[in-house]
Amino acid sequence: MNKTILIVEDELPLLNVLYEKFGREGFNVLKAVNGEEGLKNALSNKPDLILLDIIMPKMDGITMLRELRKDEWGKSAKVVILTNLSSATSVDEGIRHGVFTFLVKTNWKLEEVVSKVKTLLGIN
Amino acid sequence: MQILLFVLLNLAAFAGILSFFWRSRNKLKEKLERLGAEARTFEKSMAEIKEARQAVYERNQALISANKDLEDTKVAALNILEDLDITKVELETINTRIKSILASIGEGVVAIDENNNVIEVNETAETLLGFMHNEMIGKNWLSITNIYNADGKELPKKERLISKAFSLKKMVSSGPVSVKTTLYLKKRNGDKFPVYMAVSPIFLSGKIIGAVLVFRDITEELQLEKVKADFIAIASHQLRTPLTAISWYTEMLLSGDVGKITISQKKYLEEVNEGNRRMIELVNALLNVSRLEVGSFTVEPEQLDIKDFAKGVCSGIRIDAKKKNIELIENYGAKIPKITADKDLVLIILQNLLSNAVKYTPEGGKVNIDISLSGKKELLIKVSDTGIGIPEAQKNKIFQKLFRADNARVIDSGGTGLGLYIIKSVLDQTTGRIWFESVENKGTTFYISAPVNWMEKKSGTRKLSPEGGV
Repeated sequence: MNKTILIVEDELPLLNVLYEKFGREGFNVLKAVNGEEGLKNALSNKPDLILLDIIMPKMDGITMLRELRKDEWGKSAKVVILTNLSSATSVDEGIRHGVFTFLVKTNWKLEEVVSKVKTLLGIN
Repeated sequence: MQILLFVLLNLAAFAGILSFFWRSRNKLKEKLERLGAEARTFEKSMAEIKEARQAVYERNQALISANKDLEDTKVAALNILEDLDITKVELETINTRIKSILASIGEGVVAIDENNNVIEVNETAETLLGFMHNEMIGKNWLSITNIYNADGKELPKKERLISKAFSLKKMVSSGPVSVKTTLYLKKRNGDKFPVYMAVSPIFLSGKIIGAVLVFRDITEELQLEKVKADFIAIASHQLRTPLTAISWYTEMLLSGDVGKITISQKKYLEEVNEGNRRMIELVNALLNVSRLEVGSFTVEPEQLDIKDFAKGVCSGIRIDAKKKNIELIENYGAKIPKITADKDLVLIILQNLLSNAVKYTPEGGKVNIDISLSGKKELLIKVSDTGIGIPEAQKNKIFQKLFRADNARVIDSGGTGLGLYIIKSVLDQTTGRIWFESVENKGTTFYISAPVNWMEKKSGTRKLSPEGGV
């Protein structure tokens, strides 16, 4: 398995633990700490899946998603929103931009997040 | 000869006298007859006079009586006039009182007749709508302003509160007609402002003769609601972030990914994890409660196969049930149509009821879920268990926020006391009902009844989180 995932997360403890976990599971893991960095990273590395937080400095997740969808590759890139903000407006916005997986961080174990990502990538 | 002559003369004289007497007798007789006739006429006249006198007397009596009546009427009229004076004063007092009450009310008040013509408006209504009193009185209410929904569209006629109020057949004790969604009224200058509005029909002898409209500008309330909703969102995010860190790092340690841990370390880490899990549940539940209380939760109904959906929920619950050797039995009635409901809200309801049932049932017990159709269009969900039951004295508090029954506390000290409150609030806001039967130490059965066409779309600021209720 040589799948690459990009984690866009401003909370370093969370970013690091996700990085570690996905790395152990055999993924190539890319990191970004805000939407701006995430967008650049995504467009240049074209990961198989993006784990995207919503509330972030510089550029929030929804803005990054909107920008990503303007790109030819980004239009159909797989995105999972991984956030602690269970807000209907951001969910609506996400759906409008082709995201159908929203995980509330506190409600998901790391193992479950990994398993969800694997399912979406057709690994399981 | 002389004697004969004398005799003859005397005879003649006698004859003359006789003839005179005869004539006189006849005349007398005629006179007498005339007198008799006159006497009869007189008698008749006398009778007539008597009759007339009687009539006059009677008339007089009638007049006296009429006069008395008139006197009585006059006294009565004077009394009425006096009463009227008092009533007039009273009316003026009432009128002044009503006017001052109307003027002092912070809500706009408009009274209309059955043809929607304005009868009365108060000062707040004038200020809010931008029309003077005399510009509105007598005018059709619908020509003065109109009512819009949150999308800026005019409300269809049948959805207007006035139409709803006028369609009430009899007096209802449930109070005025109102809606939970925000409505907008148009001002004279065309601006729209958000209102809470309630319309009460006015009944006279069982017939509707008009209605009273009361409306309040809720611009500030909406702003506050938004601030509160934003605060909840940010607070939840901020609270959840460190909880996520604790949760994921503990998980990493427990999984042995970063090195082997001792049995004691594992035990302690599990305690940390459990404490953290409760904290997460509490944050989620508080978040849901705040959303329920600001009335800001979103309802997005879809066609839902409740049987398949419940099966999915049960498969999740079965994992916990197995740990306690509890049998989870599912029963689904035949021919249950698809229901119109928000998946997340149904999930909150089923998950809470089932996980409570498993949580409060001792090892080896049974939990049943029955879903059937009651009548043609009523869905009945029944969740029963052989658990600890609800103490008799605490049954009336079971749906209260943060309330936990004494026996439930003993079994699980970490519950939030919000699950049933959340279910009840969701049902209250979506035309469903919940009730229960319970015997302590025997078990509890919760019933939920809702129309097949259960939920209507409602725009809110936040979606309730299914994970948040337990």
